[in-house]
Amino acid sequence: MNPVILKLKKKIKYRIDMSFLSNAYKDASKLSSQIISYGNKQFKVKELFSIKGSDIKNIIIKSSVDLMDNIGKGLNNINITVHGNVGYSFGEQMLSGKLILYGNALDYAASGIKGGSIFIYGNSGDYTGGKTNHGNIGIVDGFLYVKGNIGNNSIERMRRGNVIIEGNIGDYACNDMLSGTIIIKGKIGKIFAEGMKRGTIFTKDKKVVKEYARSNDAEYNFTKFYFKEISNVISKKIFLENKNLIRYYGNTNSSNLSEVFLFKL
Amino acid sequence: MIYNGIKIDNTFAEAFNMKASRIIVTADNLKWAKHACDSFTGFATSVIACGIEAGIEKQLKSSETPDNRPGYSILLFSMSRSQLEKQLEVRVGQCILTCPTTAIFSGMVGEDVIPLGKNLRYFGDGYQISKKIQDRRFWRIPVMDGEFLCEESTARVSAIGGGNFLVLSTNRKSCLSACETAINAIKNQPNIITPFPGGVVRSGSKVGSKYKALIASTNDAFCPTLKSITKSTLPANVNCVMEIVINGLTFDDINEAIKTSIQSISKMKIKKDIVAISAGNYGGKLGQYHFHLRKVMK
Repeated sequence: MNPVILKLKKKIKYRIDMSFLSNAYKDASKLSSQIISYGNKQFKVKELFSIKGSDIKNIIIKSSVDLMDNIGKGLNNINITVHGNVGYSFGEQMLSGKLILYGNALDYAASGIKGGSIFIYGNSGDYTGGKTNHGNIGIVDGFLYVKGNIGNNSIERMRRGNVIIEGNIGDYACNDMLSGTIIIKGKIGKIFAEGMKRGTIFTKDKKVVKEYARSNDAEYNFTKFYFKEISNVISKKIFLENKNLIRYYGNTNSSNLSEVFLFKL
Repeated sequence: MIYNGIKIDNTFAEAFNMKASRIIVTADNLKWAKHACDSFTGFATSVIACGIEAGIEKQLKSSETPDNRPGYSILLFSMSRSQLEKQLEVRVGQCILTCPTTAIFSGMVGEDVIPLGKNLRYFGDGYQISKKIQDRRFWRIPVMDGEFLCEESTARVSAIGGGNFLVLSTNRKSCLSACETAINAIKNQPNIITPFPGGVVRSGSKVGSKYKALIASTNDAFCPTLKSITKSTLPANVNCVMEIVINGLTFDDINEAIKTSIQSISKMKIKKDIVAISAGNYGGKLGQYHFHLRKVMK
């Protein structure tokens, strides 16, 4: 079966709530006749989008624009690939499946995800992988990869899962982290990882480890394995070698059991 | 039936339903991975008294393991799920965790999961760290050489244990040599193990005993020293019998292994000393799987 391909029929000027894509449709015709709001009127999906293909579990959105919000919101066992930019709440509270974005995302992308994988091959706005815009829970589980930069207040209250940021990260990021693993290859903004309880952060920014005690230089079976697994997930070789890693574990704040691996590129 | 100069008896091997699991053990080098695996699979020859039957399935290159280090895959077989869980936990705790530089991973994917490091993590005394990658969870347990990395659970599948054949020979030297050749021929075959020492058994057993406390006793019908006083099945010129027991994940795996083994024996120069190839069974009433030697060798 061919994937369902959605393409805007004309340029839009109002925001569209795209969360209808996350519903479980029996077939593509049900999706076509779904009623959605646009401006102050209601339309069928097929009136705004041209729809091809029949595999409802694999959706491709072409010519996406940043007025399209909530793509992949609460997604469950569906794969969506988006070409172009997206609006707010991309993949918010996703449960399972795969979201791939070849473009940039606005705020709240991947916020509060509970499973699945999100790949953003562009930049992402504030609250990326953070708390949802109506709740207080960050990433519960899942996988987030961002090739570009992400904004402020990102990856707050993370509980589980894996986040890889190839670019820079904004201010107030990774605060109140409960657990999980984060790799940040770029620069880090101010106020980082405050109130962290557990979890692992890989970074090259030395200011992060100011309050930590240097651990040991022993070999880490875990890192070798972890980078191989992550490389498989993102289909790209992760750069780190054990010899370039220094582990910091033990914080001046005794309730902080998190660890930081400092790396040199 | 004569197969390439060797007589194949018209009999069958009787095998049983078992539960199996596969684990992958890695270490900084093969030497320490082997130490761990030898220790793990030691005293795991027969479910009669060992709880499980286990053996090294194959050696793995660095590129074949989850953490890019050399290692081995081990197959474990047990009659029940609870025994498999118990033995796996105890053996990983005492033999793999204790061995320097090792790590352990699940070697199988399936819906029926059994704990691997799930309970072992408490050895970390609160300092253990959990890592979840996609749907798999791992535990990092601090130990004196760094960290012991173990996967939380592994899968369990239905399997077959007790596939076998007997080598009947005129002398012990030829019999042992034939068995060694057979074991060498199947040592790289995936999905099977030969759990006994060196893959060969000399104490084939029958069900029951004249002593009430024993559930199994010597298979007197195949003991050359008892030929003259018991109802022996051995021809007059047989002076030594050895058995190769093969456990496998599927019927075809065992079938293939038996065939390859007998073929390798039939190519040996000493095959003139091999009187026949036979098989062990219990009349066909106990085991769910029957490997008819003549069908296998067709």
